[in-house]
Amino acid sequence: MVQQQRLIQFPLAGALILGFLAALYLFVWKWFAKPEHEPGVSNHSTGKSAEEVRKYWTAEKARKAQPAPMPHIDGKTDKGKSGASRPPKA
Amino acid sequence: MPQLSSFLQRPLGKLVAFGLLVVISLSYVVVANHLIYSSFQQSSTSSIVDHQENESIVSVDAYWTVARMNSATDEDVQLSSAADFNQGSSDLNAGQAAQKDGQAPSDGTIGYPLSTIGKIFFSLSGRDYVCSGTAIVSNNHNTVDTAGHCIYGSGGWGTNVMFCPLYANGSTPYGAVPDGCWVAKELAAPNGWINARPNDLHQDFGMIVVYPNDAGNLTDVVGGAGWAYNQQVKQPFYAYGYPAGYPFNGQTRKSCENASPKNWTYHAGGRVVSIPCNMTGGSSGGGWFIKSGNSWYLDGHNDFTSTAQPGHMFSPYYDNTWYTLYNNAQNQGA
Repeated sequence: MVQQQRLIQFPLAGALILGFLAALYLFVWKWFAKPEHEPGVSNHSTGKSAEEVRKYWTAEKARKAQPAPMPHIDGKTDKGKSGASRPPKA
Repeated sequence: MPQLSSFLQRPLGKLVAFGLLVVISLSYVVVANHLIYSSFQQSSTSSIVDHQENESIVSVDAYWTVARMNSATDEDVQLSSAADFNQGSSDLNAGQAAQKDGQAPSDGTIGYPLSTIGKIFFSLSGRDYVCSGTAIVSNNHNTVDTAGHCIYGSGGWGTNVMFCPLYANGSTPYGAVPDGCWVAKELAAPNGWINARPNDLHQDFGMIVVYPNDAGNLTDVVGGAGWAYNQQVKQPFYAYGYPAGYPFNGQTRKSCENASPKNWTYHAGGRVVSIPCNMTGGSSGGGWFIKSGNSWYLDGHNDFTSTAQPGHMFSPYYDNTWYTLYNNAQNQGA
């Protein structure tokens, strides 16, 4: 009888452990993972009238505006660390 | 085996087995996440060299008549037209290709599609910057295509955004800066850009919806560039913009014409395209055109550089994400 109880308890304990691990995995995945192609668009209303913006851009400010920093990828480091950068198809 | 079974039935054995399973599972999660999202390195901007202009904008206002602006567009410097690369022409996972013809400007003396290209002024994190963009054919007649990083960066939206078509030396054919420009009313970017991790640039798209100005709706005046997306990457690109980083000064439009593209199935987080082109900071967002017969179609923009291919300019691949963004923008205020 005791042996029968053990035979029942062991698979039950295993199932509970697997269920817990599955839940843990889903939780961790949802927490850290991010879909590669996240859908949707974000809109933003500037909240300023055209006159306000024109007033902001004095000749001096327009002249002094700097080039927006162009993103630069260190592709060699990328490759070396992860192999994530795949070369173009020839 | 019976010994193992006996061990597992003891409380300590169960605890050890459970611990092992937890460690294995967590290791799997960590390794899988590391492999999938491995290009998280912070973008470097060290290659950008700023250059400050010393010319007076006001002093050249009177100089730039429409006729002079027209002749200025003919003086584009072709930075590179080398066709010396093997083309990457295979399109993997391509969606349904589509395109739309452009709209010529109201002033017939101004050449299309160059009439649609302009300089963008904006502020971000308390600093003033310049980028480039393209007026694009749209339902609201007031939509500009650019790079996402020209309107959203460092966790915030750009402010004081303004598009100046056919900009040259502080003026446009429609008046001096800022009067000859169109001011942003709405900004839009894909969520994939808003939430992008560092080095993930494949959804670096941006759209600006502008107010009409005294001259009228933007594309009624300057024309609207036709567009194309989900295209095969095999035909030459014609790229334009206002590079302002050394050795350029951002005061005139530059180009990389007839440039042979490379198709990158995975770089910078996804699919991107590159062309031989040495434009610098400030040219971000400047349109890339493809040509079919006599028609020109916007199908990319100056976006980023990479050590994976020095001397090349990269663009996100114009796909369904781009179209979704464009369609959202073109119907705002329509």
